[in-house]
Amino acid sequence: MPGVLVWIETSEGKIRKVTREAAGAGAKLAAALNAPLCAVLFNGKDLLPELATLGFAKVYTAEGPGFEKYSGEAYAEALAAAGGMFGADVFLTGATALGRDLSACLAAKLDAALAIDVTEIIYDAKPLKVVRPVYSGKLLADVELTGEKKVISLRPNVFPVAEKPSVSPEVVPLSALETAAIRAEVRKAIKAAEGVLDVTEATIVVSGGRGTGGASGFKVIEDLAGTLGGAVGASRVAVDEGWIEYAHQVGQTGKVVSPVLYIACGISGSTQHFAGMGTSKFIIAVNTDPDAPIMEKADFAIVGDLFKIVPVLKEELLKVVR
Amino acid sequence: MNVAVILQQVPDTEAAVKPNPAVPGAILEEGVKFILNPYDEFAVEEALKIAEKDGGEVTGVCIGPDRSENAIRMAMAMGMERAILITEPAAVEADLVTQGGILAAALKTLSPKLVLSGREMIDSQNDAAAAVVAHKLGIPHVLAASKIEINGDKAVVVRDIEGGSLEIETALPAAISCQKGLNEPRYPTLIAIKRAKNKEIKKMTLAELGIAAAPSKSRVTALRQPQARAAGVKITGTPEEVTGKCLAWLSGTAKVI
Amino acid sequence: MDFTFNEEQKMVIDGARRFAREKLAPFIAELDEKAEVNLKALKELGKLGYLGMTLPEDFDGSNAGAIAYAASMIEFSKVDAGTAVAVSVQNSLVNDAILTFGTEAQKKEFLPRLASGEWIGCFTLTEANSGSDPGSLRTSAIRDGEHFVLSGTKNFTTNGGIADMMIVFAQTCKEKGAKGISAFLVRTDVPGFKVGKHENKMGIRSSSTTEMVFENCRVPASALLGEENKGLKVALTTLDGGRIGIAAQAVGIAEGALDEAVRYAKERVQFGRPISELEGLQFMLADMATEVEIARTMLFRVAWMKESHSQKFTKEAAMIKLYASEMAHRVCHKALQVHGGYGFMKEYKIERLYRDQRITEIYEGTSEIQRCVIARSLLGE
Repeated sequence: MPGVLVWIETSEGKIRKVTREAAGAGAKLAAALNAPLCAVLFNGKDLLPELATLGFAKVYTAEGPGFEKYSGEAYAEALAAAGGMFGADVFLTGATALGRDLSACLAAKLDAALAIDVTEIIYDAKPLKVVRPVYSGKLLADVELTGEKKVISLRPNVFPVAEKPSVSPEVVPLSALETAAIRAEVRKAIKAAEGVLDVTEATIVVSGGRGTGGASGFKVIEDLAGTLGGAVGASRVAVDEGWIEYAHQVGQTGKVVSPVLYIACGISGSTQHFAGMGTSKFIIAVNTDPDAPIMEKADFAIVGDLFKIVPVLKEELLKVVR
Repeated sequence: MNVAVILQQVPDTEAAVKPNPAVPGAILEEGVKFILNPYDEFAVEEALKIAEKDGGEVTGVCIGPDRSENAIRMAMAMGMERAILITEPAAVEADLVTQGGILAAALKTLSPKLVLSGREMIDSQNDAAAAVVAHKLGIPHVLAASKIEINGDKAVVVRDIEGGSLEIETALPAAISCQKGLNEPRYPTLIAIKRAKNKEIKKMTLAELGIAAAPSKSRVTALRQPQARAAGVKITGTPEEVTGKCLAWLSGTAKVI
Repeated sequence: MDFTFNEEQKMVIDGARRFAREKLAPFIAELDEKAEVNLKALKELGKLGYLGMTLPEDFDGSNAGAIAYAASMIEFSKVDAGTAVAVSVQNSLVNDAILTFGTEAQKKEFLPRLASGEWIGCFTLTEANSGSDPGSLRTSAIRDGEHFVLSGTKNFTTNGGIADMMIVFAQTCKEKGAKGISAFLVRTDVPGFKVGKHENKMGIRSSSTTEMVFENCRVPASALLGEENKGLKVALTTLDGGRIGIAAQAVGIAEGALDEAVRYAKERVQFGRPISELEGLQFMLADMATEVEIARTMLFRVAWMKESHSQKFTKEAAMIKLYASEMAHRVCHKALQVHGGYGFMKEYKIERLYRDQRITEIYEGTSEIQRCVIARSLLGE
């Protein structure tokens, strides 16, 4: 009987949202395959109660200094070992920076089929089928995973989180694990400025483009993002001009985001930008040019000057949010 | 230090790509311009910078159809010396892990101290090559490097992650994929373009690389255009008017607030 | 017949297109507004080899040929016609003149520095009272032993304000009129020379156009380019090649205008649908595209004639310069019309292209002069 395994990715001691999404997808897939669901958790025993609502039959835990910092090689070894014990042949991670890294290592190790940044799973297809954006999101690819083992990373904010009744999973420590010497070792984790939310993680992203006119123009963008509890994004132009850091860039040469709400301010909406935010659930655009491409694709397009509209929007939202 | 770069040819970012109705998983190539994968340019540039320090050589490996030669020539015009190209359909259509094995076998013949690739191939949006190749070669890897510093037998690499970055020290040889921001790729000089014409592109078969054909572990069965986003409402008015309408839409239609 | 670019030419052209997109496009609106030169980009083009495209490698040229040169000029001109004309002057007028007429010593001194962009050159012929008629030049070069003394004022000199060297045309034998002109290679730091007025132009504002003032400027006799009193031949032969550069500039401007018109027509919605769906507008676009294609094809044929050294191309160079520049006029006119009122606004690129186009019908021989050259050739004079 096949099994489904989910990697529990944590960030600052908390389970990532995408991991809950992966658990939701994993549970659905397990149900379709009539297979059990398990998880692998590194150094996070205090998170076990939280995992109880995610539908895992078993949770394999790996503890120790070797797992304190992320290492693709060591983590893949642990997942492979757990998968071997559990009989898993589908492995799920979030398509985060480290999730992508781990899924590649694991697929190589298991000689598995690998599908990266998947946005849809056809749960009942045999062989298993997934959908993923390709060609900068201009096309979708249906990918049949015929390999015996399958490693799939899921695009954040796409799959729903499904809370299950709390059932404590069986906890299995991966004690006998002997990891090889880590050759690529994380020495330092450098955090972005305090309180800055990453665009890929936010459910609301407020982005600025050419229309912000400069670094100082991003103030109104930041204010609105702050009011909404969202992250600040940017178009390539704004980053290339040096108005804001590259970490904020959304698009083909930047980050791929899929928030519930994407507010594009002064962004024309090139195909390259769409490659990074085209799967957002709702798009609001504010632009002086009524014919800008983004205005045809936005769910709610406001023709006008972002410097006049965005501050008023922020003030009004503030009243609602409070 | 000898550095090898994994190269890929992709359709130009501006190209309008359409599924080929006759070939599942392929696009219509007519009228599409193909270029060197933009992220690979960061890899080639970094390789050249590292190799230039001590007179090392930059080589390349590529899996792709015959037309990939043009992408390789571009890297050669930047300064890469020679390359291996594998054009067999069994390789071109293979799954990611199998392709990693093929690339690793080709890389072994070049015995580089460092393997670089682009962060992602912009056509398939796959970003696993460096990690898979590293596993196959039994060497460590780092993905999405925005900074690489070589210190003897080690390299210190900064890679971006959500909300920050990681500084990673890796032993060499290693495979590293290259992210935007790592460097500014050079433009080829016209003389270098001329010279690139005469550099060696060695075509190798899977048999020559000692790789037995195996069924692909994954297969793209169809490419299709995503459902176009239906145009929504477009409004204009005073900031107060549009804000009012926007809030109503946010709570009514989108139910975000 | 083979109408395709070879792989090498394709890479050269791709490089030019990319350079234009990344290093020219972001700055052109501001440079046009302020009438400033993108000297940094020009120097970079030199390092890449785009300022020595028709020079052999012996002189550090990139020897890419006239076809790749014309195609690169198109790419630069689409985006920044001002920088493009600087490239054209360096390649077609300065380098080619020295390569054809220079002594070995002159070639060695000037060509490697021009090819690499270390020096920017200019070609200074026109004067206030001598535009199309070089016989009426007033700038004089009086022999004084082993020297010539230059006096007079040139105007409308492209690259004048940024030049490190120049090819100057002056009367060495006043009685002989046009047959008494000589060409000189002169560094711009020689005593007695200064750059005069900077012109405030309608178009190609990212190029430098100035007066060149000579006051008893002594140059050695070794500065003569070609023989004494044979300067007219230097000028006319060189201008044949120059016309390919300007024709390519016109084609580039027209292509840029067509691109803008097509893009705008697809985006602009009137009467509930994109204006590109209106047949009247489609006909305009079709005519524009056809004219651009005709000019392109002939341009590359003339470039091929130059590159293959197969025959004299004076008549054909005049024809393509005439046709391409007037074609660009029509295309820019229509492209602006497609934009309606927005085309009249500086926010839209077509406004600049429309202004940039105008000079192509005037410099390096007006349309009327081109017609004279063509007619003379037809009538066997």
